[in-house]
Amino acid sequence: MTDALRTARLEHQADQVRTVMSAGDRLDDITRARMWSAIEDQVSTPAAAARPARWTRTAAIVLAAAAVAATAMLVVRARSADTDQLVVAADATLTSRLGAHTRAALVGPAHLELLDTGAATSVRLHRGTLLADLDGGPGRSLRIEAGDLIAEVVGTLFAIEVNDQRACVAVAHGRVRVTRGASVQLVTDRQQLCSNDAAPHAIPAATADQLARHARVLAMSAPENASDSSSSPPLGATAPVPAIDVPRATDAVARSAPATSSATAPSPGPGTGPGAIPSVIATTPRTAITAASEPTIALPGPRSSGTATTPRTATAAVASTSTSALPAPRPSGTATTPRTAAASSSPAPPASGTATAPHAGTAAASDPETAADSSAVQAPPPSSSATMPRTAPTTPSSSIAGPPSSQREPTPVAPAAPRPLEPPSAEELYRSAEAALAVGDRAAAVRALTRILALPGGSLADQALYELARIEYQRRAWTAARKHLAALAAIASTPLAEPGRYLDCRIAVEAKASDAERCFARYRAAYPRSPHDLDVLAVLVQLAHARAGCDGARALRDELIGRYPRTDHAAAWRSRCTESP
Amino acid sequence: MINAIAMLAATVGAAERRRVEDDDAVLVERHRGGDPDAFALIYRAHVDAVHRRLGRILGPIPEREDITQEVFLALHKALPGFRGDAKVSTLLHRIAINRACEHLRVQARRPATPMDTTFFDALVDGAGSPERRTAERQALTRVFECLARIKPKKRVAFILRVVDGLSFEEIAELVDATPETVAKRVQHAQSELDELIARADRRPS
Repeated sequence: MTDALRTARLEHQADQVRTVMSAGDRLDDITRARMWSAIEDQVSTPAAAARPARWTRTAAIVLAAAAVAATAMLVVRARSADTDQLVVAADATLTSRLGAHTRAALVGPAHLELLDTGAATSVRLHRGTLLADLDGGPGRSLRIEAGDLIAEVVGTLFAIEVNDQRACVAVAHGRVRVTRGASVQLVTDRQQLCSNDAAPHAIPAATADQLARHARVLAMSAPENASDSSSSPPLGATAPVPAIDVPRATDAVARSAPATSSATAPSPGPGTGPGAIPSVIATTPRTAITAASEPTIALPGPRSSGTATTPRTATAAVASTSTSALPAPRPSGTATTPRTAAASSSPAPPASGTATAPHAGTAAASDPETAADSSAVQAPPPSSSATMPRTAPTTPSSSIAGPPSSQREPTPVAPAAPRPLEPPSAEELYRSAEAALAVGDRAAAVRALTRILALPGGSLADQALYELARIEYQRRAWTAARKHLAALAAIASTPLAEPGRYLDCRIAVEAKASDAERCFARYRAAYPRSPHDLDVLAVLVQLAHARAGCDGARALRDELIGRYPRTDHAAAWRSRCTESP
Repeated sequence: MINAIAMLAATVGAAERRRVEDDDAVLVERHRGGDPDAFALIYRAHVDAVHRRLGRILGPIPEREDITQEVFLALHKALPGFRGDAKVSTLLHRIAINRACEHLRVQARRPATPMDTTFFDALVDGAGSPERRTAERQALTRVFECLARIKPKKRVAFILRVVDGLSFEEIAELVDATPETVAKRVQHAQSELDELIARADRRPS
């Protein structure tokens, strides 16, 4: 091949590289503001300035793992160079985060492999049921490989189950793209698709019930997760975590006993394999280990009023975990009596790990039989089982050496009153608005955003106003858009103040309002280092030129060329108004 | 006359750049003095450039936002000890390049996941036939995948040279290497990319 040909080929390749790597260069206002909000959250927290040392984070995760053990959520986390594995035993549920933007509950017996915990989270579900809620946003996605199905999500609440026979995807709200071989199908609100289904169909009632309960549990975990995401990495993040090689609850009981006696030798260093079990258990408070001996953990949900069904010590441990990690739903008063009694007579030991790593997860105790049901099929029996809780033993020691809870006599109690649905939070509404926008449902997005404005406290009001203004702007409803922007401008110290004002001026230009030029001039005075400065200056030159020709636009044109000499705008104005006087 | 205007523009541009640098120095001082708004102003002035830089090194990947945030957090951490030997923008871009390299190294250790090629839809000629669009998209995807297989240091030098058009000296300042080393990295990266693309072309699709 001649040099000329090779040179031409390399130039062509360079062009392609430039095309690919320059794509999506421009930041939009809301992304810029959102990133600043995240940065500001961290830089304004003194604790963030002095980030915890690696060993502290490691210890926090070890303690979190201990809390997991304490509530009998038995997770195998075998680290290898490339992947993480989560194995949840039968009768257990792990509620935690997958990557930075997904809250999930893994119902055992289950085995999940974490492939990528970045914004584009990717996991492989080998077995069990995964319920997940992806906090949708630009660049965020969740990909789940389950049997012969591949589910891809951009912001939704859904469940996916794999057992020996088939894999199923059930969607509560939003939209999931399911790939099966060469075919791609969309599963949308309240639909389910299984390996052996030709097309999606309505979710069975039991699955819908399970999803609804998990939506509440996951929603409760959201604010804590959000506020603490800087200090505790999500599951599958880079911090080392000791492996807990406890595949079954019964094994955990057998293995945790000797570890209890050696509790004075904590070894919080990163474990690598089965030998790491004692180090994890050693950090577990005694009561928590006792709780681990109760293989009675089930799906958290309204029925896990079921805290009433667990022995007292276990209740204490669960209570302490629940308050700091993931508050279990507290349905009716039937559950509260034993819980309160246990807490007052036998206060939970400080489960310090749970306080430092709230994402580690938790579970609520319940009946083992119903728990087994819940893990065997994708939807556990509905709340009827909650009306027949088992009696808690009266002494703490009985929970150590006592019989399994399945051998205890049940004590009937009054049925729990149905728990009223909690109103959605601002975050949930915003997510649903994003999901609605993603599928082009503008009306639903407006409804959700308007509801945010009605919430007390004003959380996310600025983002809602900005999004509403953008929606109206796209509809070319100038007056409505500017009304939202005026409300946004009235909010003090929002990171969207500048983008809001910029949008306001753009609307003024498009609406041919008489104040457009003045609007941009004031904008420039207020934000001299704005990322939009080039665009604003270009518009000002254009407006001045339209009003008074080259002579009238000269000063601004010169400023544009001076400030941004290598831009297309500069080149255009150089040729359009050729020279300065 | 045009030359005179160009010279004038260049002079004004240089003056403007100096003004921004002076502004940065003032902002750093204000930040050190406890002004809570100063860091926001630094962010506002540089975030687009940092995001663009990361995009050009890493490509259109969703992690760009997270890494941009990390860069500014790292800058915030570094500013108390910043002596002003370099410009703030240089410091920022160094941090960005280091973070990008770190990300590329981590990614290289992970199993490859199929990328979302729909992103490239916007880059291909919408007026072409479906076959042509598919071919263009495949070509762009192939370039991206081949680039991903080049070692981070070489890839960064190559991108800074080819996409950003920086001189070897400018690249050397950013990646803390000599211009000769940078030149070699660029050359090697180009040869590797050429070979990888040729190999990919030979492979049946």
